[in-house]
Amino acid sequence: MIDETTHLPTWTLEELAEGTLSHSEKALAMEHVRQCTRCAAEVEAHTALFAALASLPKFTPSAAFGDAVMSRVSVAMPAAQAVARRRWLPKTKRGWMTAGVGALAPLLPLAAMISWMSGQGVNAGGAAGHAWAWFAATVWSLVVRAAGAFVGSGIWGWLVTTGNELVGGTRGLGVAAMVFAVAVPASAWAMTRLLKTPVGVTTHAH
Amino acid sequence: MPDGTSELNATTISDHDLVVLAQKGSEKAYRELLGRYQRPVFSLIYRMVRDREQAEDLAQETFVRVFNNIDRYDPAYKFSSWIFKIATNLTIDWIRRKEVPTVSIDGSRYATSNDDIEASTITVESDDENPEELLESRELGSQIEVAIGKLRPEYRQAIVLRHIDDLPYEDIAQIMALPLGTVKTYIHRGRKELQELLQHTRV
Repeated sequence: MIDETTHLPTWTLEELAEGTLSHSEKALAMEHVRQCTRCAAEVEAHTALFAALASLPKFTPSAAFGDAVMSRVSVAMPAAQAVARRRWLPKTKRGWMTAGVGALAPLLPLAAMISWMSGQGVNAGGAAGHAWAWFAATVWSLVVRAAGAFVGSGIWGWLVTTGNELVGGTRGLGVAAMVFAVAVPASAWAMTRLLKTPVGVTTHAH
Repeated sequence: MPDGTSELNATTISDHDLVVLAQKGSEKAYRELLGRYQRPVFSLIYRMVRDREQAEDLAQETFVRVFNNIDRYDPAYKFSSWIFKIATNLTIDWIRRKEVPTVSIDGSRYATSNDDIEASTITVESDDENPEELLESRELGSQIEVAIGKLRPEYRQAIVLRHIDDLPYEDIAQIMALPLGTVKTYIHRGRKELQELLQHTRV
C-alpha cells in the first residue's frame, strides 16, 4: 500500500528518470509515482531536463585542428622507440642482476691488464685482488682526506675547546657525543612513526 | 589484436588496439583516435571555458600530451577515461589560474554543503568575464547552455560528462579523481541548480 502523504526522495526520483534503478526498485517507485502527482511531476521535470541535456550538440573544432595537433606529435619516433626500448629492458630482478654483471664484465680485462702490468701475471684471482686493493685504497684515501679537512676546518678545535669547558673536560665531550649519537636517531625514528600514524590513531595522554 | 596498420578497420577496431598500433608508429591510428575524440574532448573543454579559441588551445594540448605519452598508456584504464582526465586537469588548471586575479562568484570549491556554497558566494563586477558575455556566443547562447555556464566548474564538468557525454558514474569518478559519492553529489546539486535556473523556461 502506498503512503500518499510521504514522497519519494529526490535522488530516487532522479534515478527513476535516469533509468538506473534496479527492476524491483523501479517497480516500487513506479507504483508510488502513478498515485502521487507531486512525485510524478518531479519525475517529469527530471526527464525533461535529462532529455534537453542529452540533445545538446557536440561542438567541432576548426578544420585545422587535426593538422595542428599532428604537427606537434612525434609520430612513431617516441612511441615506437619507447616500446622497442622497453622490450630490451630486464623485466625481473634476476634480469637486472644479469644485466648488471654484463655491464661490469668489461672491467675484468682492465683489472687483468693492471695485474699484468704490475708483474703478477694475468689470472682471475690476481685481477680481482688488484681491483679490490684499488677500491680499498681509494676509499681509505677519501676517508683520510675528509678527516684531514674536518680537523683543518677549525670545527674540531672548537669542539675540543668547548668540551674542556664542560664538566668532565674532554671526557664530558665524549659523553655528550654518545648522548647525541643515541638521541638523534631515536628522535628521528619517533618523528617518522608520528608522521606515518593516520589521523585519529594518535593517542593522547588524558 | 591487429599487428599492422594494414588491418586498421576504423569501424570495428577498439580504442585499445588503436593505441597499440599508435605505439608501433601508425599515423593512421593517431588520426583515428583524433577523429573519435576531438569532438567530445573539444565540446567538454568549450563548455567549461566558454571561449572557442581557448578551448581549441586546451584541446590541442590535451591531444599532444596524450599522443606524445602514448607509450605510457595503462591498458587497465579506458582510453576515453585517460584522455578526458587529461583534458579535465588542463581545463581546471586553466580555470583556477584565470580565477586568481578575480574573486570566485560561484562560491568556494571547498564548500561541502549548499549553505557553505551560499555563504561563500560573492557577487562581483569583473572586467574580465561576466555572465552577460556568455550570451554573446551563439553556440552557447541557448538558455540551457547559459545555465550550464553558470554552474560551478566542478558541477559543470560532472553534468557534461554524465548527460552530454553519457559516461557512467564510475568513469566520471575516475576522470575527476573523486570518490563515487562525491561525484553523485556534484551531479545531484548540478541538476538541482539547473532546474532552478531554468524554472521559468519550458525545460
